[in-house]
Amino acid sequence: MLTKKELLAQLETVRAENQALRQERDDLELLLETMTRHSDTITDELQIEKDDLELLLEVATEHADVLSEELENRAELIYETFGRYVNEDVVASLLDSPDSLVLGGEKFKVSILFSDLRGFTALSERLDPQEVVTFLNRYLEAMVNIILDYYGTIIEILGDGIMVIFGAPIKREDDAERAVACAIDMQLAMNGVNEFHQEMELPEVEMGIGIHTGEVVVGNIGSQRRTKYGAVGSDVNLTGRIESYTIGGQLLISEVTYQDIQTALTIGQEITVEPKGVKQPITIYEVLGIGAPYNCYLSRDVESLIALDSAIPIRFTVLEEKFAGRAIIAGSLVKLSRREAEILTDTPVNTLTNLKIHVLQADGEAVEGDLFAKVLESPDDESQASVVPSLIRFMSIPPAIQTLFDGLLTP
Amino acid sequence: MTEINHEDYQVIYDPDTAIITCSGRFRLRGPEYAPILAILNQVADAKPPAITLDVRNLEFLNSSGINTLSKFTIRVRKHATSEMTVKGSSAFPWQKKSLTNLQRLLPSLQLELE
Repeated sequence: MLTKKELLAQLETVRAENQALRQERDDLELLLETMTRHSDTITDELQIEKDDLELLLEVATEHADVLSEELENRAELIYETFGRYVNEDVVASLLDSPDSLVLGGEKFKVSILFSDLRGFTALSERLDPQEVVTFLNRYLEAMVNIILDYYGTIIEILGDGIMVIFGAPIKREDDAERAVACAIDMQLAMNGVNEFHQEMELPEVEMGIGIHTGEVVVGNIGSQRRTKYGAVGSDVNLTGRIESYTIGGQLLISEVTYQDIQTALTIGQEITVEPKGVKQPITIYEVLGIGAPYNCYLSRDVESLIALDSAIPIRFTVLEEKFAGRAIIAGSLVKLSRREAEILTDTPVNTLTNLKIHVLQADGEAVEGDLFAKVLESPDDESQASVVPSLIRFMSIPPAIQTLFDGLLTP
Repeated sequence: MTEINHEDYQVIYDPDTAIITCSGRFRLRGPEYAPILAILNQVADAKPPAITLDVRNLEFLNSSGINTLSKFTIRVRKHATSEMTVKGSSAFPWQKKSLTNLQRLLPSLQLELE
């Protein structure tokens, strides 16, 4: 039997144990609460991370959509601007590196090529409209394919004239060389064009090409309603002048282009000219071929002039910038070949000027049609001779005069 | 002044004004954004009262780039100590849409489009 004292002591122990247990229970409860709270916090945070990740994904996806829409618009613009006028590779590389494309206008060093058919305007007046279109399409198709193969950018096709630049919108190291090689290939392709013309009983045509290299402003030029990729600058005008010095089948390049080319060129004539709008006389070179890797060469027919039994009287005017001068000069045609002639005049005519000639019959009446020719060689202005001979090259021969010449050249 | 100068882009941070200016074209691959994100995080962690992100001359931003700007925006929100302003330009079509989206990550973000 426990004494009362012992019982009280035992009760005290139990009470203390109880107290400790209660404390422990409270602590545990607190711990549980803390842990639960902590866990809630962690869950919240995880939730936030998850929401953020979803948002991040959405933001990035929408951003990608915006970018691809921009790219599509850009692609459309590029195709619209260049699709027909540059090689497909150029369009593709513009799409790959949109940085390289500035449509607003930028200065570029480019090689500019002008080509033009000799006497086409006169010829087109003699053909019926359908024939003119067939003629032009055939010719342009041949030329455009060659130009695109050489990565030229076609700036303008105006009737039979073509303007091409090499070096924009994408610059390459060999821009000048490609321009020259392209021009030679274009000249060689004229044989094919003329074979087709023979089949169609159309007259043979010849092309002249001028190339010059310079800084021009290139970009989308025009009004809001109509813009086109174009090039402007005095060097563009100079290229046109250089082209105007050519005779059929010829390629003339400026000194600048000549200096820019590393590949070996075969040069024919070296000519000094004083184009309008240029302060100093400039040297231009007749290119007959370009070496490796292109290896294109022009073949030149050498024709010998036949002395005529009796000189044919002529009257001519000197053409300046497509307009005929006022002075009518008398002369005579003394030697003739299929494409060239020697004329005698009492007034000297300058080399490379263009002449509009009337061929006179015995009765003094002119044979129908205008004969256009370019002066290839003439004596110096210092020449004191009263009658001076000049070598001319025909640019356009009207049918009646052609018949007359054919009769004189056939033995 | 903290700067990153690259041929294509530039990042400048001026601690006195807490203005971050990004310009040029951000066309980097993901990991290449690390130095830019480091600057941005440094700004967020400095907890200035106001942060300005000026992208008016940022012409182009790729997907990894928007990701970088988004992460920065989230970090600013988490600190909940800085007011954030983004200055953009409607001259670049991507800015209108994608910068507006940054507000979804930080609703208090002020967007000023020129």
